[in-house]
Parts: sequence; structure tokens; C-alpha cells
Amino acid sequence: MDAETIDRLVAEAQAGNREAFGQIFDEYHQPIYRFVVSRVGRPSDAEDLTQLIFVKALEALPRYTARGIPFGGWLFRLARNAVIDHVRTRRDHLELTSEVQRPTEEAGPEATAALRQDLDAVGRALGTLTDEQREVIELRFFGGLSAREAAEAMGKQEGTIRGLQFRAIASLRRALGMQLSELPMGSPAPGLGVGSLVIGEPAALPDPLEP
Amino acid sequence: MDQDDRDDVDIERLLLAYADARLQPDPRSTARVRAVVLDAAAAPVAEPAIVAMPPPAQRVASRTSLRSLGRGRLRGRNPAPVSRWDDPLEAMPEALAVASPEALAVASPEALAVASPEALAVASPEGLADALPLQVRAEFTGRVRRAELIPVVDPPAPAQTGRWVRRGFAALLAAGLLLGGAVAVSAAPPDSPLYDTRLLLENLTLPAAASERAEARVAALHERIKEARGAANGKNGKAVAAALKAYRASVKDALKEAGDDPAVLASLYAALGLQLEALETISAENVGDAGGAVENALEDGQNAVTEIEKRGHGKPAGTPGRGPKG
Repeated sequence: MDAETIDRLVAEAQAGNREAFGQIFDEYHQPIYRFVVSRVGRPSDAEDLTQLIFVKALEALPRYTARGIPFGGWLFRLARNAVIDHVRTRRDHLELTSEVQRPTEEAGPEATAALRQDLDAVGRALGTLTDEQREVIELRFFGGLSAREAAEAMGKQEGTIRGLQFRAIASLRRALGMQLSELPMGSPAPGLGVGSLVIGEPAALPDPLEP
Repeated sequence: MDQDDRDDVDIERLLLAYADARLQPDPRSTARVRAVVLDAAAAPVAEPAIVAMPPPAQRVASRTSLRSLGRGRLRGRNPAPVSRWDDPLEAMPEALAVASPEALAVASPEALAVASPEALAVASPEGLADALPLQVRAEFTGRVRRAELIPVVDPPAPAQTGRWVRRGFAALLAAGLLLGGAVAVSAAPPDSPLYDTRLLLENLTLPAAASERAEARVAALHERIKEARGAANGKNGKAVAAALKAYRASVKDALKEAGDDPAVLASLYAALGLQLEALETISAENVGDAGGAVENALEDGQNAVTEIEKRGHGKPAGTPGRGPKG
């Protein structure tokens, strides 16, 4: 859905069009949920929070004016605030590595096990990022936001977001121990998101300034 | 596309695969949430706010109902609307007293009307500006000021003070040189009054030959980061800010002096990469009043990396992720 369509739907929703808000929900529900569940870990909490976020968005919608602010950034800002409040009041949230694991379709047992290992490694690698780096990754890749929208959601400059992403990817590459020669390039195998990507032993995280 | 770029593409594929496999909403819960949200959308509060504002009590009751709807299941209750005040953001000044600036930014004017001055004092100005009508905002600002929670900032000192500072600095520099205090100066930490003198001396004693000078610049940049990191470990925000201010100035000088020399640019590029990582670590330390300084240093470091790439050296920045638009 392009920005123009989103703006039109927002205007219609502000005028009280329920169906328009329904389309906004359909467009953003999955990105919002992914961002939230990545932050809070527990799917049941994420579902509740996602519901809360959309209800808050509905409440705040009459006050929303574009003024150059992308709607996605505005909505994710609400989501981010809701998550912050939730985490503050509930410290026993699960870590990334203990999120729900849904069965992978169409893959054999070996491939499924390999994929699970890869994804577990990704979960652990995400845990090595700084909070801000991780949040940028969550907004950009799990929430599907543009750099500008992520900047709006986090209240930072777009250049800062790009810098954080650049360093986050570098950290992930190192944490995953991706050895250059071990990475077969090719299209993903059916049923597997990442094909037979080989992830090496996670590299130790040295002091960046020490030789 | 070089190897690093291919790695980045693979990491992006991994992240997207991770999201597809581990972060996917359950379709049944999606349908349930959708129904609840659209039910809320059918409620009168979803009407445009341009029409005449209802009396405050009525507006608060409506908002309360709506928020209760969203919070119901989080508290283990039925998510159906309830007609009582049960939202701490709406009804409890105590809750607002500890609410985050982010929470206040999205709080309603009614909620802020019962907020404590302490809570308002920590609310971000942007949040208040968005949340409050002008008249109400002025009243709240007044409350906060009356509670003396906003520090009174002295006006900037007149130019004469600057002259005295400069004179003092010159006298200090002369005394330091005359009394052979170079050793003490060379070890001055960032929060020391001698730190500026130390930086000045370091600049003056840089080698003249281009390659040696570039190496010295890189070493100085590392030194500034190490100083900032040491200060961050000691939670010394003032020292962090001083070291990073010097770092930013050095980055600019180094980039300017590097010109288009490929060897120098490559060396600087590699150094900046390590330093940006170190800055991220410092940023994670959350040293109170040094947050802005760290952010500025990160920004300048990243801009320098981008500039080197523009000059045709280093590698392009990471490719962006997908997005609903743009």
C-alpha cells in the first residue's frame, strides 16, 4: 500500500469511516505484532499489547496530522511507548530466544532442524546488540519501516538510524560467526527461509579498539 | 557486490526468515483483535474532534472506556468496555508522577490535568506540545514553574567573561610551559581544566609528513574514544562530553587532511568503523548528561564514513530493509 493510499485511509478513518480503519489495521497489524512480540517475547502479551496499540491509535487518530510525519512512524511510536510502559511494569518478560516456535511447513525433519538452529542463532545474535541497534533492526526488518519512519518512531535523525543499522548488521555478522567462505550464495530452498546458510561458531566480541 | 555486501544480504534474509518463522501472529487472534478494534472504531469517540468539544467529564468517560477496552485482557479481565475509572493514566496523579515522558506524550489532556508537576517536569516538550491545547499547556507550564521544578538558567555570560576566560587560559598556558608542566598537561583527563591545553599541544606536535600525520590522527582518535569509554565507566558525563567534543573536532580535521589519499582514507575508514562500535558501547552505558554528546559523536563518525564512501573508498553502507513504502 503506498503512502498516498495510507494518507487517504487515515483521512477517511478520521472522518469516522470504520472500514478505512479496518484497512489500516490490516496493513499494519502484522508489522506491529512482529515488533511487539520481538520486544516483549510472550505472544499472549504481544496480542494484548497490539490490541491496545490499535485502540490507542484509534483514540489518538483525530489528533494526528501528517505535517510530513509518516503515518507508519507515528503508529510505531505509539507501539514503542506501549511496549516501554509494558516492560516497565512487567519485568519477567521472556528473552528473544524463548519466543514461540511455529512449525515450518514443507521442510523435512533435517532441514527443519537446521533451520531451527539457524534461527536460534539469529535470536541469540540479536541479544548481543545494544538496545538501540536491536530496536532499529526490529523496526526495519520485523516492522518493515523505512528509515524515515523508524527515525520518527524512535525520535532520532534518519542518518542516525542508518548508522545504527549499519553497525547492527556488522555486529550480527560477527556474532553469527559468518565465515565468508562458508556462505553458499543461492536462492532459498523450498520451505526454508534462508536455504542452507551455514552459520559458524559465534565469534567472541573483542574490544573494538584493541588489536 | 563485494563479500561484505553479500553477507549483509544474507543477514537480511536471515532476519526476514526469523520474522516469518518466529514472529508471526496467530490468525485466530488477529481476527479477534480486529473485531475488537473495529467495534471500538464504531464507538462515538472515533468521530472527528473538529465538532464542538463535549464537557470534560463526558470526554474522560469515553476515553476511559476506550482504553479499558485495550487493557482489559492484559489485566486478565474480559476486554469488553467498562464504565468506571480504571485507567491509571486517566485518574491517578501518582501513576503519572512516575510515568515516562513517552507515556505522557500520548496521554490525553484530561490525564495531564491531574498529573503531578513532577511528572510534567520530565515530560518531553514535544509530547506536551502535541498533547495539549495552547491554553492548557500554558497552565501546566505555569504549574511546573511554580513548583520550581524547572531550573532557572542563568543568562549567558557577557562577552567580557569570555575575555577573562581567554586571558586566564593564556596565563595558564604560559605558566604551564614556563614551569615545565608539560608532563602534567600531557596526562590531563578530559574533565581537567588542562585538557584543552593538552589537546592544543597534541595538535601542535603532530608530524608534518602526511602519512605519519595521518597515523597520529588515527591514534589520537582512538585515544579520545578510550578516554570517553573510561569516563563512561566511571559515570563521569562531563568527561565523556569533553572527550567526545575533542573526538568530533579530530574527525573533521582528519577527514580534511586525508584529502583523496586512498591509503589514508582506508586507514581512517577502518578506524572509524571500530570507533563507532566503541561509541555504541558507550551509548549503552547511558551516562546521564552525556547522551547528546555520544549521539553527536556517532552522527559525526557516521557522516565521516559516508563521506569517505562518497570519495570512492570503503564500502557502501548497509542496504535498507523492506518497508511498506519507500
